[in-house]
Amino acid sequence: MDNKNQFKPSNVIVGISFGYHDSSCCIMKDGELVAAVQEERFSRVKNDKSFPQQSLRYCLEVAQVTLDQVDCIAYYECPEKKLSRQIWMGIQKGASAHYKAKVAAQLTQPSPMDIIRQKTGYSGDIEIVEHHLSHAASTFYFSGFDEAAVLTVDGVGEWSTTSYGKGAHSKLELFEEVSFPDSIGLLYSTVTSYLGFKVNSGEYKVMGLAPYGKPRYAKQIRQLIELKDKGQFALNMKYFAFLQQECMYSEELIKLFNTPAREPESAILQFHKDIAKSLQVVLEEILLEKVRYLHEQVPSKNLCMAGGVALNCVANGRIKREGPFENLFVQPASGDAGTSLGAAAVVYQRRTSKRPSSEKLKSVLLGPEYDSTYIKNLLVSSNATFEDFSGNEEGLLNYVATQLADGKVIGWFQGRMEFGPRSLGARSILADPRGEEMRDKINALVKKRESFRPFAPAIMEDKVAPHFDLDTDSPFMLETCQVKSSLYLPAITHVDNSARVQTVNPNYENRFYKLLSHFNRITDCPILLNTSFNVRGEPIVCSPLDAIMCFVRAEIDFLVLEDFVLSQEMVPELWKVGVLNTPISKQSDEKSIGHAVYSFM
Amino acid sequence: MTMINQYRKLADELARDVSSQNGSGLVKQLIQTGLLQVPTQAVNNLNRIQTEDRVGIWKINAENEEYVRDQSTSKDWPFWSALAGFKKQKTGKRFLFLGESVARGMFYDPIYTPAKVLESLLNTQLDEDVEVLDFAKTNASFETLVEVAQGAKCLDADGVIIFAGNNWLKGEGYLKSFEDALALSSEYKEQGPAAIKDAIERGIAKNIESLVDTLEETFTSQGVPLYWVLPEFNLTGWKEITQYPPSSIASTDQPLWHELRDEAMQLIEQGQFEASLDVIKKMEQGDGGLAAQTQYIAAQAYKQIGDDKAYKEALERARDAVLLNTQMRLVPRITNHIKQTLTTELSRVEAHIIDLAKVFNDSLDLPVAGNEVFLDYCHLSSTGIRVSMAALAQRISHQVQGDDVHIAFESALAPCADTESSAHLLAAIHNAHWGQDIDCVEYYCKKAVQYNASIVDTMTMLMEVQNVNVPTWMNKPTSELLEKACTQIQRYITSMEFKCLDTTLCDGFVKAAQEVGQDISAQLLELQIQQHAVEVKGQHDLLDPYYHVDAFCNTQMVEGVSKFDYYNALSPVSEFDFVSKGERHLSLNITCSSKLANKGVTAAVQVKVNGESVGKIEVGQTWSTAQLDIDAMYIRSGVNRLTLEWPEEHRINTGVIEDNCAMLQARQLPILSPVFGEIYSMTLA
Repeated sequence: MDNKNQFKPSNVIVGISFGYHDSSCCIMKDGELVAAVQEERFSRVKNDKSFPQQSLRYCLEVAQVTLDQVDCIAYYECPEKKLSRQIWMGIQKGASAHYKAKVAAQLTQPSPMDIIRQKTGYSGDIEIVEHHLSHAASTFYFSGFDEAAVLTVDGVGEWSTTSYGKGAHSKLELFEEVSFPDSIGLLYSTVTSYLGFKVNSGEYKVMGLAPYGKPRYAKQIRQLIELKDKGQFALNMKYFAFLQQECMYSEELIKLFNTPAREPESAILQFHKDIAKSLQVVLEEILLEKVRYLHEQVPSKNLCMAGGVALNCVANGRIKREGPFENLFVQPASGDAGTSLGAAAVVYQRRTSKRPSSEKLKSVLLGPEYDSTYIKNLLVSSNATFEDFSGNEEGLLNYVATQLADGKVIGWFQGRMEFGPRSLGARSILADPRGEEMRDKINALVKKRESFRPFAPAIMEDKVAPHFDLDTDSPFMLETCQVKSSLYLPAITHVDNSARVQTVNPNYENRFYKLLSHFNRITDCPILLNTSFNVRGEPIVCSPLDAIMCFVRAEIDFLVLEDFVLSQEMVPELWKVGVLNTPISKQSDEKSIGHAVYSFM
Repeated sequence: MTMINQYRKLADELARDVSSQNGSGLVKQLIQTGLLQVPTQAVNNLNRIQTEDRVGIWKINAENEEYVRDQSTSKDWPFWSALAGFKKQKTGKRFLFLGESVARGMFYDPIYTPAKVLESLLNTQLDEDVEVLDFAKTNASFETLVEVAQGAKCLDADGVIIFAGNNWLKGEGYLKSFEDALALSSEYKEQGPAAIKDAIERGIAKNIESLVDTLEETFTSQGVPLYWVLPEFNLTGWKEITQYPPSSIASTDQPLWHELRDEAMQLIEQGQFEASLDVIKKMEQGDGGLAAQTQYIAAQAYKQIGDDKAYKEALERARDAVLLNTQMRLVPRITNHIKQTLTTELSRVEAHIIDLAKVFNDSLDLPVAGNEVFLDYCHLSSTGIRVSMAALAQRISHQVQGDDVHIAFESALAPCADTESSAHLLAAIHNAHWGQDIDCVEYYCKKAVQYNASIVDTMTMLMEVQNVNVPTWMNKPTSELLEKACTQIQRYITSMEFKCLDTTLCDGFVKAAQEVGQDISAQLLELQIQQHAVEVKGQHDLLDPYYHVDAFCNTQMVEGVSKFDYYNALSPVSEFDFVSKGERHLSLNITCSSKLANKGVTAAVQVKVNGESVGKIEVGQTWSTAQLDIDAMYIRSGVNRLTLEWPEEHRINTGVIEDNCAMLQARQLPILSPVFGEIYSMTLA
């Protein structure tokens, strides 16, 4: 018998976030990020909030370490501070009996540390990192900047909703914060809820709706929030109900807009588009002002951002164009999923005094991959007909590019899965961006979602200039810019002539880059429509089996699983029955999150 | 200080105090005393279920007043009768048939069902035409029965049959309320596992009372007679998987209990049955009568002595002891407590009770029912169905026409040989998937072949389906299977999918095929190596539920089901299967612990492959990882069994009761089975 601990690597830190929404796990070995993944991808429960047990196992496997070799588990927020905020909510005047009861129940819940130990039997160190520090670390330590100002903005963590900080070398500190209930994230979520979309997941739909509107209600939106000195601001609480009720907005908000809230799934009127636009404009104003304040405090060239609000790529574009900072880095997994990265980074720094990573995060391909042998076995075991391009990459790329040029929609499954909310060429649905009807086709038939939802372009990094007004690379689709291409690109050009561009680098997304190149060779267009590989309400696909189910359900024309191609025409009837009987997203009381009100508990 | 800041300070202080150890104890005390109110988790309220336009999966078409299957419920159809539809208005006598999978006629359904047998008997017996509407549902719960009963009250029934009581053994209701959970924690500390048993039984009794109230209000008070068929359990033919005593006696008495067990078994072997009973009494003093193993040993002694009554009672106690096995999935069963409670409750609404235990004894001279009338733990053979339906028909006939006619079960419909063959094949599958041994599985496989030799073709296809670890609908041979197999097999395969390596079942198939001169062993071996060999896969995860040895009931680490994300050894020997080409050595990587170990002390786990010792692994209280090379000489081509024998001395533990109290206080199911060791990961490469 060999005791494996003698081969133990040094400084193995696991970062974990769970209990709120979008649970995730990552692992760092000697300060290098080895793997990161969201639990929903494995469990197939959208926004899964439960302990990320499958993600942890995946991370250990990739890092080739065992649980007893983990030096520390970093947890992404302080339970005591969070409980303080929850108690505070429960003792507010007018807090509902229901809410008070929920707070009382919260008092008896096992702590996250107890859950970690009970679920895994882990007996090593666990360290707590505060929520906004986790966000801040997730962006600064992976930005590649030696020094930078740091801004984090979200709904709420423990108490903080916005924090201002600065990072230099291995040090990172937060020097000011805005406290709950004053929150830009909750402002956005409240209007999201008023517009009939789900809180905690529908915010990006509001952003997508905004370009169709005019800022006719910006004045009213400004009444919802009062900007104060320094980094501070305050919500005008008469318009918000989330402190007292299971609803985000109050009757006063309805009076302010003089229109009832939109019923979910009902028609979207011009009024709703105008509200979305007004909210977007005001959000940008607030963020620009606070970024300017931050620059006064930390006069750096560099700005790092994280937190759910930092996923607003339209605002990011404006901050970059009009703000005082020259360079901007936004953590690609800016939402709570990304906090596991930050927590691990902070703990690594605490334990070694070293900076976890001096390199800029170049790729978010940190998730599971499935080799061709596995996929071939899977397909051979099934009764599917498929094309095998093993050892013939050129043939595969030609075939797929030709089908794309012919107007076909492709499910593209290659290599390691992306970490974060964006599909970047590993788990993507791809199509020709030039077709007039392509956006409607994919929204309606494939993704089964609202018709206004925009699609993003992916472009060869070295071909950006003639097509988009973009001065730096944008590998993570976190900024918007204007389309200036001579090509007609209706499927990826938003109504305001903007696009949320992904620039594809041959070093990091090699096969995807080659596919773009082949498509360019056939069509003189180095751009593809790239959207996430899922249908509405479903987590992005993770495994080949997930991909097959989504391919069948969405009736995508072709599925490319590594070297193998399946055609929709050849799908066996039994597969259709099997997929029909499989839920799009699993539901589970323990794992699912609510969407009527922000997940304060 | 502003009000906001004052509140914030107060909240900070409260959070700090509550987060401290003293604080959390104080909160619990406040809740227990009722000074702090905590919401009770949602409890199923049986009276709240509303059904207006439907009965089960059937929805009324308002235009022609006909019920038809609702397409939106198609996923559930395999769990219900294949009845396409029925009219709201009856033409002759109408009886409603509600119940669980036993009432469905599982393994025979939809070709041959108890409802069809009853209908045919009543049509020969009663003066009017009789229609029996089959509303039984596989996996029916209390709520299902209430829902169906309420939906069916407008059907103008002449009688309602309920054949249920097996699916009620869920007693987690006591964890819904904080006050109850805290109170139970104190009771448990004082009384041990018996307190949990009482709490579970109180919850079940409450549900039974509520169900009978609903049935009274819906039917008997309206003059519609209620016939309740009380299920029976396969006492002699079914073997419980885990027979160990609850862990709470482990503190000091566990070693003594094991010594007594060995002594009792030795005495039985020596033919000293009376003497063994004295030892068994001492075992019962230690385990409180809550260990199935004690009762099985007692049953053995009573059987040898020839005391049928005591034999039966011991087997019943063994059956009921598993109530406290919170770590495993239990097969459905009716316990003595359920039976007694139900009988008492039904007496107040003057329901007719058909007690199958009595019926089997009266009709077949079976004081203790076994494989003569069962195909597994509770599902009836065709003989069991015919006997029970004949007794039921006799009672209905007496109630409707006042005659005292005797209905012989031989006059009831019987299935054809093909249907019997398929039913026995399904029984083999079900028994294998619920952990029964090769003798049991082989018995049913061979019976299937005896009824119809061509069933071997179906077995071969099933072997292929099970050996490929993809969903059944994706599997290459599934289409052929669905095309060629009869409806009852199709129905089972599509609704009861359970994927595992299925070595016991496949071995049963091989043995049965040999009976008719077919050798499918080479085909099986090729399939196993192609799909599962460590050398083909590169790495084999022994904790993958697919490779657990004992099938469904013993499966752990299932997403959304298991409390722990690690394997708990629920017996002193853990077994895992792997497939190899047997050509080279393999490397075992394992991260394991034994929480029962004393702090700082390690002990050795013996590792065996195919019964041969291949080395030892040191385990302590916390996870540690070890690597072990397994020489090629121990590994054979095909399926191999790897066993871990956990250290004996680790059985002593003083912290179990405290741990369980903490779990109860957190409204979690306590762990009442002993855990001999834990494994976080285990791979072969």
